[in-house]
Amino acid sequence: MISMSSGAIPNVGGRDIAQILEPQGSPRQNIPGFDPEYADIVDYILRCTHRIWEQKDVGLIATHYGSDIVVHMMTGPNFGMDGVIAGTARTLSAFPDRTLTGEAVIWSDEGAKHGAGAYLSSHRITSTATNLGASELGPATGKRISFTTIADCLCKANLIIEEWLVRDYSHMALQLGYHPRAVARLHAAADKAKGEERAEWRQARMQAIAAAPRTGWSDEPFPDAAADPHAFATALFDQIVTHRRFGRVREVYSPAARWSGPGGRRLFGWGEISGWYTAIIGSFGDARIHIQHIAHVPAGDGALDIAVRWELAGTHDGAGLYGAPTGEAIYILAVTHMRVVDGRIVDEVTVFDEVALMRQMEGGL
Amino acid sequence: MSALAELETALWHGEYHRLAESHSHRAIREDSMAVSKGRDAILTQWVEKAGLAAEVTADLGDVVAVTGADKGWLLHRWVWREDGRILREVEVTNRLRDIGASAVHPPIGELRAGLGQFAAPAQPDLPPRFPDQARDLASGLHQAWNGRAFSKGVPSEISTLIRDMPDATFYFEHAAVRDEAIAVLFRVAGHHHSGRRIRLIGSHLVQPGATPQTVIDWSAYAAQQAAQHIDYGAP
Repeated sequence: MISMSSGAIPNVGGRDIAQILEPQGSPRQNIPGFDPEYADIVDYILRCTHRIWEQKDVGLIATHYGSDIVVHMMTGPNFGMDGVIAGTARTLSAFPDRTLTGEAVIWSDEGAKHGAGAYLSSHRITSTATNLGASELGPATGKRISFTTIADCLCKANLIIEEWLVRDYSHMALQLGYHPRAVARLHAAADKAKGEERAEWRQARMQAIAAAPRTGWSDEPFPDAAADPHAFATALFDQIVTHRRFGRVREVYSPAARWSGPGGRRLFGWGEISGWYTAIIGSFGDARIHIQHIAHVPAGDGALDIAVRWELAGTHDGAGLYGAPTGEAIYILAVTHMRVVDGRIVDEVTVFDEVALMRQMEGGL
Repeated sequence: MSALAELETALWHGEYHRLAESHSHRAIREDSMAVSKGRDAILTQWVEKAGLAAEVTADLGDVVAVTGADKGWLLHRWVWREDGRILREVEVTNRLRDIGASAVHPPIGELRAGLGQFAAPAQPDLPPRFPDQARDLASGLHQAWNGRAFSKGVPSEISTLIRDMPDATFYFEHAAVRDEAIAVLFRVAGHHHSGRRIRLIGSHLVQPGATPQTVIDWSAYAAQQAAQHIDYGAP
């Protein structure tokens, strides 16, 4: 039985992999220009991921990515479909047996901004893979690892036209036996050896974030997540991060909330989760946060899944999480997925690339 | 016999193929040391136990208690389902064997969120949808364990943890009720005199006419005391 946990659009919930990957029949959603085998945006994302990565039809990217695609990562934007194909092949060379389990597809209708039939899919993936080839992290280790990726894809007419990709590279490094800071240092050294200025795109983003108007003080209760998920998520980041009101974690998280974050961190409950926010500001005291996008879907049994893509700019001026302060300006691109039950966050996954973060601290990017 | 009890019995008899139907491909298993992701990872862990003998001794529907053939080894398994298939498991066992620990991130945050100098509150903070029939028990455990009201009766497992970790704090995550049996899934975190924050998952089962059963992963307790910390500042 398919669990129609996203209204009329079946999601990963309640379906085993065989059901997810079988042909879904005629379209269940307004998806003009999509290949006729796809029934909706969730089906498109889950099955094209399987076809490209697990069935190794890497060339299928040519019919699923725009030729002028931009893929935003914390290491910078990557332009063009050829780069996507090359990057996919590189990853598969390093991890040839990679499986990509779709944990969630939190999507939004982007028709108002990008025309009818445009959708944003925030796809959280647990990958399991054996490191049989050299990767950007180092030589092959033969180790089997598991890591989390979230890919936010803006899709229209069967093409991914813009993507934001976050991956837990530090957790990958740790499992492979590498020290994330050491990897970051090597990457930064290579950056500096080019003799170029620090990346313009990063400076531009940090300036834009710093220049954004700051919200005023508020003691308002948090909005009802079920009634207005967008306002709920916005208020959460505004109150807890922007205004440093870490104690308000107790108003929006379950006391038994489970939190997963970069580096494979796992936290539990109010104390540790508020500690995370404290430690981020303890590392970047002038941190400013900007939300790029919010999406939400029902998750079955009255629960709600919310995806928030956010970026943070600040100065590494504290020893909270990343060692002695370097004074470097830093930029984070991250995605957070949260499961809300009865107004409380019970489960949260935040992904960003700590290797790229520490690369900035080492003077790179 | 519940579906979980029947499945558990079958798995202890080597019927690992049953996982293909009983579990979601996305299933995860959590214990006091790690989270394993995927049905295949759970299958691997079952195969590693091949040869051990055990039987189900309590059945609360989506919670079962299991006892090893030597009667000293205990396991409580908690499951959460999605359209019938198991999506999440928490396994609490006293293992009775040594295990190693990978390096972990240094601890973050406090144990008693926002309380400062206040004593433990009279009532526990319970998560959404905590079963109503288990609230009184959770409240009693909170008062005895977090409130240190040892006169109310505290299992030796709990008093040992509090003795070794004076700031040990207990969090009540979930409960199961069937007939007159109640099981409570809890977590405990505290700072051990080794200098490490210890974080464990525990399970407490109360049945009429039986001694309450509290299961703590003592192997994880020992392993976490020796775990190295990841230091991002010093590669």
